[in-house]
Amino acid sequence: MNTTKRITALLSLVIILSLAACASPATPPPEAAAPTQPETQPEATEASAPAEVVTISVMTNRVGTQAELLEQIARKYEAENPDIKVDFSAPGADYEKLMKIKMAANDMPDVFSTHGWAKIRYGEFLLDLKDQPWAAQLDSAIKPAVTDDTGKVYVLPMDQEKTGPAFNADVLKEYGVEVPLTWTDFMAGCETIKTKSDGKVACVHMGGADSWPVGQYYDFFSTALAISPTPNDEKALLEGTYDWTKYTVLSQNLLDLKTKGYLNADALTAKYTDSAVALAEGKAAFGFYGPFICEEALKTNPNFNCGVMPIPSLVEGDKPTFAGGELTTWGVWKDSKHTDAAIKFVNYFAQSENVKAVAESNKVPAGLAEIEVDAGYLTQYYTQYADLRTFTYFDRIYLPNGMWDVLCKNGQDVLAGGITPEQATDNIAKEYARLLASQ
Amino acid sequence: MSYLTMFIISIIHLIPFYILINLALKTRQDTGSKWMPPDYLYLKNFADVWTQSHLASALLNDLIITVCTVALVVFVGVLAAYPLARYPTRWNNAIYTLSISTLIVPALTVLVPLYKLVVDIHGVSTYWAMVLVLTTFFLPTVIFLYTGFIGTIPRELDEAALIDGCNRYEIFFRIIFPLLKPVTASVIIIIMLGVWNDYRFSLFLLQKRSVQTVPLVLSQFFSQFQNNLPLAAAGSLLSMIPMALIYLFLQKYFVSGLAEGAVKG
Amino acid sequence: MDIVQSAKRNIDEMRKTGGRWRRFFDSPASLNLMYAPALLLFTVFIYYPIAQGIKISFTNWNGYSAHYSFVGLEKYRYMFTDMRTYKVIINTLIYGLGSTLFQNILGLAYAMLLNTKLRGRGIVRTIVYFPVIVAPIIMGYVWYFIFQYDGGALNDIMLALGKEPIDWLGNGPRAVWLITLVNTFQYMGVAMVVYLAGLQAIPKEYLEAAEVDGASGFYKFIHITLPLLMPAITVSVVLNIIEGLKLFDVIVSMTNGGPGYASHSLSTMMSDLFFAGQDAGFAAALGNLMFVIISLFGISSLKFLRRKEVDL
Repeated sequence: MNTTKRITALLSLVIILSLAACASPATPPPEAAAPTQPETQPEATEASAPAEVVTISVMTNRVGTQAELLEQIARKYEAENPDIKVDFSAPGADYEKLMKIKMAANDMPDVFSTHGWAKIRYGEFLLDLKDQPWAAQLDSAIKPAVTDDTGKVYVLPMDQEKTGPAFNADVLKEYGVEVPLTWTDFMAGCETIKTKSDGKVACVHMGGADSWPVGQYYDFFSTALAISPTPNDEKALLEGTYDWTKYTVLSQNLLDLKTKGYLNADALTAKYTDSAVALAEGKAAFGFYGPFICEEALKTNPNFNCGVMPIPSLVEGDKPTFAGGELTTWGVWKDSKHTDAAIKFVNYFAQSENVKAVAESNKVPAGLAEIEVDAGYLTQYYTQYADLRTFTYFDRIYLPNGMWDVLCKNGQDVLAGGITPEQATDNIAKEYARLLASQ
Repeated sequence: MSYLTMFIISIIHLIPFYILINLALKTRQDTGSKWMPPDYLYLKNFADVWTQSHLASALLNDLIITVCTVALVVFVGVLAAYPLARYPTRWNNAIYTLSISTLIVPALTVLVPLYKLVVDIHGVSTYWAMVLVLTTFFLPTVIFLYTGFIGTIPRELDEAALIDGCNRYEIFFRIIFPLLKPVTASVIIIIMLGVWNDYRFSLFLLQKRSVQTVPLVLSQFFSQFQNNLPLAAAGSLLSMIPMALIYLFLQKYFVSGLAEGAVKG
Repeated sequence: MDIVQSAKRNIDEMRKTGGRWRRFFDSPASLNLMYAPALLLFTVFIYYPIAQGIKISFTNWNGYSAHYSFVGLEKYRYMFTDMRTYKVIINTLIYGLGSTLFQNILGLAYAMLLNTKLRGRGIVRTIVYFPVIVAPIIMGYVWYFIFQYDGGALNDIMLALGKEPIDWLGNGPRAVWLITLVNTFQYMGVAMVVYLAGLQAIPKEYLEAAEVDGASGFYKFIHITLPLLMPAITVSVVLNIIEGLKLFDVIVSMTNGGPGYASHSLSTMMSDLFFAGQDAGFAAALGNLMFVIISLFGISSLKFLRRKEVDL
């Protein structure tokens, strides 16, 4: 390259860099999900000096249609508040990673979702919202998950989970299997399905490659094992004195599912989306997921007949339960530079029609009391099992932060035949002690 | 015989792309075999993915960041390589080894402190911070290639210029630098691909949607449209095009560049 | 040339009048300023963070909270007594050395084939190099589609042949080797290109002279091509070893280290420990171990191969 070219290159570099540095990266590109236009022009602001435009950063772990809905509501909010701009972001699968790094650098978004970990993980970063108008309206089922003894309200819960295994209603009907309410019935039902379908239909489809479906199994049945029966081990768990040898039965049951041929053959390499497809196509009967998989499956097969059942009980005489907890939430960063705007944003979402919209998009109950949610095709199941108790997800209360991954990995190892259920319990107990100590 | 081998090789290496293209042309309801092409023509995935995601702005962002990074890293790298190649003093050798060993550092080791640093200098979601970080991480490769190449330029040239009265800097800019053209082309291609496809730093440093690059958008495709793989496949294909075009355009310089320099004895 | 002449005149004058600056710019030491920018960048963005990063390995930090305490060598002790560490080291070596072996043998073979005057060789070269251009996340998904149990491309072939579908990635050791093969396929193009360049740098006269002397193809290869190819081999092998030992993206897309921990490399394990396991201290310790191992292999292979290079 001769001198002229080199100088030109250098000059262009300098120009580009300065342009880039000066270029304001704050304008979001036009969104395809067209925000609803406000019907009336926003009120003219007072005659005083024009308000400074404040930009708040909002991040959520939700994806897909749920994220689009949240963003639509955010755009409506922007339209009604011309002095506030919303930088909305839905990173998807890497949300948690991003949040952890941001926490380490104390650089949180002004508003963010807490996906079940408002108190235990994000607690020290959240502003107390107990003085907000909707704080008194928290639904009693979710209230313990988002508040603590001092009365601090950590997040706004727009909806809450009411989860149990999902199933393909047509498959159950075809093989004449009733929704099982105990584990013994569940195994019996699986045997029926396996024999009658000649092994073609997997009783349970698990997307083990994604790791969390394995954890979901443990979470569901830990409650059934240790919390819902009477007497139970709740006190022991809260005090850290739980006898972990009791936990082996969960790993054993998981292994049994596999050895008896009730689990899909590729449980270790299939993903969550594969479970959705398998259920939709009638290749599987049950999935340890929740109502959310219904929507996924419907996209593959609009005629899919999705059902949700409560978690079968493990202990003799106990009743089945639902798992509950935070689903879609907004929290405010306590060190945010725009707490007023952020709080206003959260309050906007607390309005009834917005809460209703969010809850309906997930087909779950709302997080604020007295908001009627139309759960569509799941209504019959919610009605049928309305009397059953809901317990917050086991790992969010009784396990130190970080145990979820331990359960997932050890479950995978058990299924792979790498460790025995007893060894899994050993590992789990060891990690439990370590994580508890480091909290 | 050789033609047959070439043919077989081409087929084998094209299989992944065949599958991807196949997938992109299907509707999401079509869960048929990955080998059988659909018997209908469905191009909507490409249109959809263009409008529903920020692919257009991501391509622009990626372009800006790539151009700036490549320019900067080549400039800083070639400057650094010259003394390291020409004057292997104890000190210089130490610097050289230090630079190369930076290649080995796993990104995660530095991730948290690096992020904290970028936050402190208000560089998150800015082009310039991204460019600086990427430049730093691609410098070792550039230095490695340039030192190798400069080593093949006879020292006599330096000596002649010195006798003529040039100072050391003049020797570099007027004599050596122009001779580096071939390997520069190769370096540009290698770095360009690395920067364009960078994910691990972009994920944390480019958080605002308006500055996100192609790999981030792709990752969001796959988590957002998890159950709509044809759409994600279409998006993937579209995102490949720029780099493919540039590579096709530059490829003849690529091999000859390496030949004339970095891999000569 | 006026500029140069006037510059020369200035220099001569400066030389005559003496002074430290001018002598400085004449000396080799002044050139050391040239790598100052590079050093600055390294220090700010790498060495400073590394120092912090190493500190983390002596704590029980969970990766995000503001509270943690120092635990001395606890994490290192834990690392060396955990069986997973050794499994992961072995996997990493397979990924690194296995990939390098396959990539270089195949890369050289392809290069030799495509260096001849065949029509269409440019296209084939591009096809082979193409996977390198594609973003790793995309290729990862494509491989997933191929190895998927239910509806994957490979299993479709198995079914068509009347055999039972196999859960390809469900078995730990098999997954490791499949990942190695995928990695080879992905980056083989790089080795091929480096060897193409190396082959083209060999003066034709040497080969022609040998032919005139009656040497066979094999003899030519061993005694002429190979030795003269050493610089190319050095570049390709060293870069491959380092990249192979650092392997991350391919593993994450195909198995994410699973089943369980069976296919983790040091790199993916480190990431998993940090984010999912919330054990930043262990992750940092593993990272340091990784650095040592890769340095060992990288630098020793570099020295070994450099010694074998023949001076023209």
